[in-house]
Amino acid sequence: MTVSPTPRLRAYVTAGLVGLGAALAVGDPGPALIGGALLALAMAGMIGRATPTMSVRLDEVPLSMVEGAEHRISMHLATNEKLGPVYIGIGLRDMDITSTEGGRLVEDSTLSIDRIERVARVVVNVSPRGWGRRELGPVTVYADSLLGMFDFLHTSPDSEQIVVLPEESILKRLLRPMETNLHIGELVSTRRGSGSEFADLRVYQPGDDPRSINWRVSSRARSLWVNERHPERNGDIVLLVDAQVESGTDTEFVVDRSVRMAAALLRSHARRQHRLGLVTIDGLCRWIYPGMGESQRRRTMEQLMSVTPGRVLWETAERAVMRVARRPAMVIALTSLLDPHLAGLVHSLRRSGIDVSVIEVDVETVLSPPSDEARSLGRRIWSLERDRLRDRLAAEGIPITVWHSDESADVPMARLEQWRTSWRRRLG
Amino acid sequence: MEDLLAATARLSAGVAALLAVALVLSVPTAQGSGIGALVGGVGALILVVGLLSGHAASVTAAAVAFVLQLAIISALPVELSPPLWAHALLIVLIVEFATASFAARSHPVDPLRVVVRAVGTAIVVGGMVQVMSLLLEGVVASGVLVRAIGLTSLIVAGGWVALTWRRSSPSDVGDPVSRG
Repeated sequence: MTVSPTPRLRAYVTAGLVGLGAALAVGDPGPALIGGALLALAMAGMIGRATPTMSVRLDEVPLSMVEGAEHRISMHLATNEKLGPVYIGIGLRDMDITSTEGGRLVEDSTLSIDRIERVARVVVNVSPRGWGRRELGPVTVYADSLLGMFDFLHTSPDSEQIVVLPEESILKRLLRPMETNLHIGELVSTRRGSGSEFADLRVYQPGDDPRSINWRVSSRARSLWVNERHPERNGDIVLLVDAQVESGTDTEFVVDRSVRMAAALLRSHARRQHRLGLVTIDGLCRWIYPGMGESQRRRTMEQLMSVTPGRVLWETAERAVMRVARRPAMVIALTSLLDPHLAGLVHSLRRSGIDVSVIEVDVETVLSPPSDEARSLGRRIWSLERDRLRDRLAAEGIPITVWHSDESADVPMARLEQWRTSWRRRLG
Repeated sequence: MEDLLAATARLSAGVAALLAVALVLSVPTAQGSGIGALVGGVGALILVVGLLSGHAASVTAAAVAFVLQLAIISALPVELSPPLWAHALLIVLIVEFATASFAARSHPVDPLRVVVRAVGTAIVVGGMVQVMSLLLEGVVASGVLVRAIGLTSLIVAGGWVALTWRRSSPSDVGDPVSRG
């Protein structure tokens, strides 16, 4: 707790002392009366002051929030005496306070309490803007003494880290991995085993489960035949999120779209019991091996939310991708294809026999139109080079689609699935 | 809401400046008391400049100037205008509104509370001055003994204030009000 004299106290004390001194100098009681009254006021303010002790702590803070949704944060304040009015600065960044309980909103993130009777509980309902990592706090409590001669300022030392996730969106269409792994899921495996999907018939062999005997076929064939089934398995999905930005362009918008799409993919695949892995290709280049469960989901989301656009060390990125993306994983790359290195990386994955698809986040809409003919020509050449890059990837059997800014997230998924289906048919 | 806070700061500053000008204009200028008005005018000017530039120390300077203005006028054979109690009342109102303006720049303040506190404090101080002047009417405060007692009480009061002030700041984080 910091106690500071206010300018009011300084003014009264100084003017009071000057009044007393001036009265002595001029030999008239007038200035002494005013000086005495001002000093008496200041002294009353000083005598009436008792330095309060104060504590404030954040009681209820969610670990993660969802952009645009309402979340509850509660604080507990305690003082050793009655105080009022008290102002609490919560230190919220990029969050709107939608409603409060136990306090009144007086500024963007400042509440006022008319009076605290030793203990107070304040609840604020907040709605975060945008996604990312946020810091909540430190909480600052401000009050003044009865006559306003002293300010009391208390700042809680701690602050909380919160992850704000993008708005909840579930994709209706998802890519089906070509290969499955050994964990139970909802994908019908191409292998034979115990499951519910009929695969084929074969002659009974000792050791087969008697429940799998197909009695109708067995009675016709006069020997025992059993049903073979496809087991239901899950798949490994690895997302490659390219968060590079070009300086001087509004490509943060592209990163924002990539992250939103990745979050939607993670949520949607998690619902289908797939194992999820993530590689964020940014200034830090971090990766998470495929895994299942709530903690895995939270880890991937947290990493995604702390994506740091910046210069990429491609050697590190390649090593990370090769470690995480192993068969039977399906890799979905979300990229603006601004850097041909990523195309090379995708190409390497494909050559390693990994099922990889590319969603290209459209950047051309965020680029400013060329200002002169030379720039216009440069832009055309650049577009042609990008077309060539896409064609090269497509020719290698890598499904690639451009996700335009006016399309919903389901559109590129539908296009990719269509591409993969037609490619499979072509291969027979 | 921020507009309201900015409006509170501006309105308080405006009221303080107006009262300061009114105080300076209301003092007599005859028989050399214009020097008092000049000192008060300088105080008002400092206050206005301080309010515009955000220097909270200007409140102290202005309050001192107004007290000196009164001391100069009361030393001269002119009728005191405004009366002593009104002088005290105006000084307190100026200090209260000016400090409220500085406070409103750094943290939220309740405009109603500012007005109630300013008016209440000014009435108490004005009343105190009026009562004391009635009690001391006709009393001649002169002579070595009176001056010695006055000087001693001045030193004691100054020392006590300095001591209390020093004890009041256990940590030096800065004055949250004057930061604005």
